[in-house]
Amino acid sequence: MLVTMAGCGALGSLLASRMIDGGLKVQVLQRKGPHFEALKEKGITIELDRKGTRWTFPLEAVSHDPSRLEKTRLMVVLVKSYDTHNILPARDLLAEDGVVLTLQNGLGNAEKLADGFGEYRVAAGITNYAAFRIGPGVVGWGGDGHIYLGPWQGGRKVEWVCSVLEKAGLSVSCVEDPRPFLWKKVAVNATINTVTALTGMENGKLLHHVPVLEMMKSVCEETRKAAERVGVSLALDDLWDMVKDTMQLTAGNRSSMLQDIEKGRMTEIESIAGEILRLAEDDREFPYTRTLYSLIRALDLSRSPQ
Amino acid sequence: MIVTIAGCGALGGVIAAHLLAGGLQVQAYQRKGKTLEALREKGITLLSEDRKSSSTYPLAAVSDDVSELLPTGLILVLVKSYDTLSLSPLRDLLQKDGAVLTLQNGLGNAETLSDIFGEKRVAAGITTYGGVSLSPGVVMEGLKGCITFGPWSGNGMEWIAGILGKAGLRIDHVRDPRLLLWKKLSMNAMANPVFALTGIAVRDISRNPFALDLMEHLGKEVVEAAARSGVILDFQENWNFLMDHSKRSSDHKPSMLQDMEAGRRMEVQAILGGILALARDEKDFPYTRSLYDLLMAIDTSRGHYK
Repeated sequence: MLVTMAGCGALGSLLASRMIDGGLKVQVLQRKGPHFEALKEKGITIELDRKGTRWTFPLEAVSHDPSRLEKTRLMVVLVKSYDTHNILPARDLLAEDGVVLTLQNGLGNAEKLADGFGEYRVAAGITNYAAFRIGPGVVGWGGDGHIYLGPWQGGRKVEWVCSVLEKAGLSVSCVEDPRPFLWKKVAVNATINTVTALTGMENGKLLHHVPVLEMMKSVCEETRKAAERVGVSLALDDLWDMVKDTMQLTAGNRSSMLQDIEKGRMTEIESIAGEILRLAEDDREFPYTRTLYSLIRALDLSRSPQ
Repeated sequence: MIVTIAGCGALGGVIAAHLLAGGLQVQAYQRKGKTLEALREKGITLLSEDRKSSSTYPLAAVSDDVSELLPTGLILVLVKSYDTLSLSPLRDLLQKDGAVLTLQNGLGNAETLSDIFGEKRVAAGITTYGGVSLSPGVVMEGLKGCITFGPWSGNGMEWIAGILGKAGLRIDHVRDPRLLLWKKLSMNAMANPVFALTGIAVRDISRNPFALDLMEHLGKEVVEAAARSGVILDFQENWNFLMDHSKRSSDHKPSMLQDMEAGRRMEVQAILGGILALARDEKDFPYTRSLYDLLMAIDTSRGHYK
């Protein structure tokens, strides 16, 4: 079976390599640049350990133009959330009975995809597989994780997507409604990613700073309130446990937002903290999330060409 | 009379040079390091604003050891606020009718100095003089400023203005310096943490709505904290002053950003801790608290708190 990876950055490359290893064929929709050229020429290269052991995985096709790719039943979206609208021209690539699956960070991605692809063809999920970019075409393995995914439109059946990915060797759970999972991931990103990006610390280091942990817990509570306003009810303890577990499990990792800040790339703050703040009743609500949001946005703006 | 400069860095150096040029005898209480060596060997060198001419003035004494310093009638305190306690050995050097004037950032310094020297001998103030340290012992004047000060308790202290004014410093006396200190604090509390965490250039701040939004929230919390300690601040007046100041600033970097970039300990406690001390509970002042927690986490991870 042929899978389309829309956005084959660090995480996209890691997941694609697993699929190829498990017998699936993968084609890539990717914007132009050195990484694009490297993928086109050599396929995906994964560095497995610090000794530099590398494996290369061949791709069926790599293009920035959807019309040059084959029709496909499964498209996995892993572009940065602020680029999601760029995937919409690829709607004709997806078979009528196909599924476009977003595993992106943040909120608002499934909605955008639903506008282009039709809600009935959208699935959404979260993953904590971890990867980091080493160079063009080369990605480091940061740790295996799990994928939770489910249909964006209630009642739709997407179990076949889970079995395809599972058969290829990925660890996947199918869920009825992916929304609570997306919100949990948002809590993780709104706390760990922002604070590590501002302090330069690795994820696990935050565990040593009790006042910062209290602030992060306050962000979880604000996230919980925001989720409630769109009908997703979550327990504060569940959110907070997930944040703490993530810090422990990924202790040595540098979060994607920290990597973005260090590389001078735009962050995904708008689809993370920005989405929480859009649900605030006034500009005084959610002060902890607002502080982190303002600092990251201020940083992004100060580094963007004026 | 001998004037002692405690903490002869950039600002201390500029003030010392003015006093020396005005014919006063000046000694420096300075911690060990390259600045101490340079001051001892050559004295203080003041570069003109166009960097074309310079004057060098010898100091009466330079040491980190009070037994090598001379009895003094006036101590100007310019050490970092977290080092104020290190001035205790100067107690025996201060003449009976002498005074100690703090021009440091933040809250709590006058109180600490009162414990050491007795509150009747303490004055506090702010300064808009600015200095840049070009190399150890070599400073350049930044903004042409002035000093405004008053007695910490009781009254008097006009004589300080007489001595320093005669030596050529612009200096004003007020009856109670608390309002001044709070005004200065509100500038520091609004601006410094945001600059330190984002690295935004001061002159760019008016074009960064995200930084402005956060600074406004911080500014309102300072006004509230001041009110609780009996000082009435006008938020709009502070805000206008800050905006006006930032427009005129060329490439000046706030002290906290300089400290952040150099890996030095920041004045988080004196600037933000004093505000949090006036919080009614742990939910109070969330913006100030978040920035305090983030900055303290950075300082702690850099080994500044053991």
